[in-house]
Amino acid sequence: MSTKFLRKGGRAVAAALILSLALTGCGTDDPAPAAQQAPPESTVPVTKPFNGTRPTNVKIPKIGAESNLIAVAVNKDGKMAVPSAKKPMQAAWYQLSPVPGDVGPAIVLGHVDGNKQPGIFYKLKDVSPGDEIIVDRSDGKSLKFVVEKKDQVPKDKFPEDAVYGNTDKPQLRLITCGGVFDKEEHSYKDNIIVYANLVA
Amino acid sequence: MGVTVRCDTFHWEITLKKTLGRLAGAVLAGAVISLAVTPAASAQDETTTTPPVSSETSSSAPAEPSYSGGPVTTASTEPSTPGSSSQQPTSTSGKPTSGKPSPTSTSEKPTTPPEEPYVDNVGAGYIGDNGVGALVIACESGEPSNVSAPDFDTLYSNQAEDDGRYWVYIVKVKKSFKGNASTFTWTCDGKAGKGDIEFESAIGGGAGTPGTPGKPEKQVKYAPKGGIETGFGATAA
Repeated sequence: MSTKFLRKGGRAVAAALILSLALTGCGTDDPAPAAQQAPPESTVPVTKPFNGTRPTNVKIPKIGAESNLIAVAVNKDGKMAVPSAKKPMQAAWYQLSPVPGDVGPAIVLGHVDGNKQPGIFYKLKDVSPGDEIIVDRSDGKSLKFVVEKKDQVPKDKFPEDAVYGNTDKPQLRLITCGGVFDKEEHSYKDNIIVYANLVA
Repeated sequence: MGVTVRCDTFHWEITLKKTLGRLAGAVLAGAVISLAVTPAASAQDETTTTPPVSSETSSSAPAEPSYSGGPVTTASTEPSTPGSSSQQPTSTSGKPTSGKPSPTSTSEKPTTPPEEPYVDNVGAGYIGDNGVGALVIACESGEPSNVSAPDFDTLYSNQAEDDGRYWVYIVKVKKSFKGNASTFTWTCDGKAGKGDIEFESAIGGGAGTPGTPGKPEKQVKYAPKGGIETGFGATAA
């Protein structure tokens, strides 16, 4: 074994140890194996956000959930974009749906979990008809919605007409995942959908 | 959205194995074993959590975490989950305040989905049956230039707030367009890009034509197909 190799090997050993420590020492934040880690969060700052009238905050007192709202559209696969799994407490408004308070079904989504912890809508399944949802908007309005119903549906039977179809009054849809977690598909089987109507 | 860390790590391992010989290889193997063992232990913790299921089934499940962001925290039962405060959304008051989801007896282990690596300078478009939709371009270096979709008018554009590497263009098909396929082009970091645009249904010449008299405007401009992925199994049983 040459000196050069030993030097290289020594550096490599140190590096490997550091790698080992770094990956096994992620602690509670991200201890998943590298092949199963959530993707690293983008470091590209958002300098050109959606700049129209928009919802800014959602609050569900019944379950003690509250989050500001980012605007999401679709991802490169044509699916609805969702907040980073690294930020499971972040809720989002689907910007191709109406602004909450306008006529139509405004779509707000949030993670049930992510990054080894519960998400902002972890307890959405506990919301019941009559519960209040407060949505603030960028124009200063604060709107109160009341839950009409809650459904748990298989993702492969997602009720697109009920969720996305036109309505004759301002409504809100809160959506998260639910049901059994399919390990093979890395996905929950169901979506939980809360339907709410504007009351004030 | 990408898995740069995962790819880098894999490349790292290959590089080390090729250049370092047995000693380094042995240590690397130790690192790999450590990777395999430690996450498994962590995953075991996760498998003991309560699944997010319907209220009907959760009625028999033990206590779960709740959040203190709202003025009422009726579901709060346990102390805070360690580390959770660092995962709050920016500028939000949503805070998890109660503790670990309770155990169940299932043996299924949750995993984070192996997401596809980020690929720069690619794009795709999706148009609803009302002729409105979104074009998405991956461009990490900044806003793409020379974005051109000849068959569409751009209503507005913005950066994807969930991942700043993506740029979104909300478009509406021109009245003169007929068909069910189109493309768009752009320049990202000096490189030309081209993407295909998918249509939910053919545009023009039929009852589904955008702007057809009597057809109501869609309130949801584009309705993505299928369910929504808002969970990664961290609390699944």
